[in-house]
Amino acid sequence: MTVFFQYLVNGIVIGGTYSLIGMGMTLIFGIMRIVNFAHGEFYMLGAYFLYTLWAILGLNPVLSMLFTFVLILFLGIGFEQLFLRPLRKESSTSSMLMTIGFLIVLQNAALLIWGGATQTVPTLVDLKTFSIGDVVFSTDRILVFLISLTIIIFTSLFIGRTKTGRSMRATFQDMEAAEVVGVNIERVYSITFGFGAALAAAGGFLLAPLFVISPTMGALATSKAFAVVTAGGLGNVRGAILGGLLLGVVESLGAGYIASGYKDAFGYLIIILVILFKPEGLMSRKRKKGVHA
Amino acid sequence: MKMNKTTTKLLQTIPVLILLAVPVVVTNNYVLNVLIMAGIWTLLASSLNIMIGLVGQLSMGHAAFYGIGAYISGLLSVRLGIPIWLGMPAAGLATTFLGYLIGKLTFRVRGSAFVLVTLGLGEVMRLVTNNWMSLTNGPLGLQGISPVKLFGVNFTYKHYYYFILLLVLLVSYIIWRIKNSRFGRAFIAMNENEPLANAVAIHSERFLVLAFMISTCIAGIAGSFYAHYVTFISPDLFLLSNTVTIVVMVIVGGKGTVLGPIVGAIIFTLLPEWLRAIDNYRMLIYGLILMFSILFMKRGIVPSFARIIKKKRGALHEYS
Repeated sequence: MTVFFQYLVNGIVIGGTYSLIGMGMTLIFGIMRIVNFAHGEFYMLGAYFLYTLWAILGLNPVLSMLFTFVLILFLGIGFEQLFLRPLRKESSTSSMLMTIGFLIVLQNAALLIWGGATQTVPTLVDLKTFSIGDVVFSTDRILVFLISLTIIIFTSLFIGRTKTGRSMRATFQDMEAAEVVGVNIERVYSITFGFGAALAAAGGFLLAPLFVISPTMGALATSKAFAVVTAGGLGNVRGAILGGLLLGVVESLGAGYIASGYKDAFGYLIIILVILFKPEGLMSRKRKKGVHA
Repeated sequence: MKMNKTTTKLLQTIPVLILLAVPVVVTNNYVLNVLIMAGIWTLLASSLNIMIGLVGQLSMGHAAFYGIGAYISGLLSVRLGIPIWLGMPAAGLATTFLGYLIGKLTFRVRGSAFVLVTLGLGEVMRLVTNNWMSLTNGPLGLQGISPVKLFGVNFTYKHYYYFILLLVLLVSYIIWRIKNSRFGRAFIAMNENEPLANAVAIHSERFLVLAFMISTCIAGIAGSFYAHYVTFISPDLFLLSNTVTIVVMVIVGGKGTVLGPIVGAIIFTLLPEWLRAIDNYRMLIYGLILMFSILFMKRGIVPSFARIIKKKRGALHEYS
């Protein structure tokens, strides 16, 4: 039973970062109606920016994280304005293909800049472990979970309480009506995309000290974001938070009890099962979906 | 200037005649190998075109069906000694059935769900082939698939070339027929206005599944050919980058046209050969080409050229 709780705790810690990545993707999907295939690449850049700013340039880790968040936010906004805005009148397939193109460009640019070898990022705090019962906690993982939780809360407040957040929710519910009452749709789209990308980057810089980083790490993150978003219901922010935790726990338990080689397949198993049996997402109640704060 | 029908038909056979004559003129095995690979990519791009171009559904798991076809044919050959002449139909049937299953299950929800499931399929297959050591030999790959043999003749590059050319011509003909058939018009109708298509009794789900089955069948056959041609396969076949390459071929060449994916496949098979000196930048360049061709050449190469030619002809007519 101790082993079970250990897996559970590990799963929840990792799941918090999955929630972040998933929230980013679900926001983009919910408001812009496109699946962002480059999502994992923003996650990867988050990890590499932290690595560069902190491990190489020696900046303060907290400042490095803030910088990374802001830089990716602007990268996302820039990409949206230059490459997605002109496609607004095309079918969503064009936009999705555009994000696929961006995926390839970012991944290979990273390969050229940082090289293909994996890198490690030092842990954020001195590594100490303590145990409650027989379940072992380590300080670095606890810290990662706390930061994820903080970002999740701030995001919820941002969507729920600010004017921009209100515009985002309005656009989600009815784009045309929102435009009629004076919401600047173009601005909402840009901010949504940038913010979604920055959330993915946050997942990246939080997980970077726990795992090794490589330019191709994004593909796996994108697939996990898909799983989280599908499980939570496309466009459902609260669903994405729970979906992230669910995926973390399922992966951890699956790797522990079934087969660790298939750890990354459980996400797809979730996707396929949810689409088969509950295509609206696990959280859905009829007519009650939306960007909830 | 108007040509009568027979002249047009004769003109259309010229490219085919040139293609038939290639191995007579070219004896360089490297060149033939590149052309054979271009043929395989053409099969893949043309079959994906059925989904992207004709019915307007983005399948991101095309490499999965390619890989499954390769593994079925390869395993039958290595484990049971079955030749390609049975392996290829088996691969085609299996991927058709899988296409049916996945289509049947996902087209209820359409759009992004289809994208996600097809994407997931590739990843799951890669993990399975990597981990199921006893069957697939895992990441080491499957070696010693028997080369193609017919009537006691061991295939050389020349034979493989004619074999793949035959497949390419067959597939192109099938797609051309589909485009100009009741199915094709139904596909186009669905693509343009689905509710309206439904209203005139086009059962869209059934057509989508059918389109997907044809598409996956061809991908499986291409995989089978690849397995017996290269005689070695590995889980890398399932990599997303393969699917992305196929998608790029379709989009840049021109989705929805018969010729577009062929042109795309040839360009993107030859390009890496020329770009070998700067191989590190290859994928980066692919990505940029994809992004900018979506932005500035929305229809792709073939339709854009066709339009220019039409415009010129139109202009001539006006002045004559």
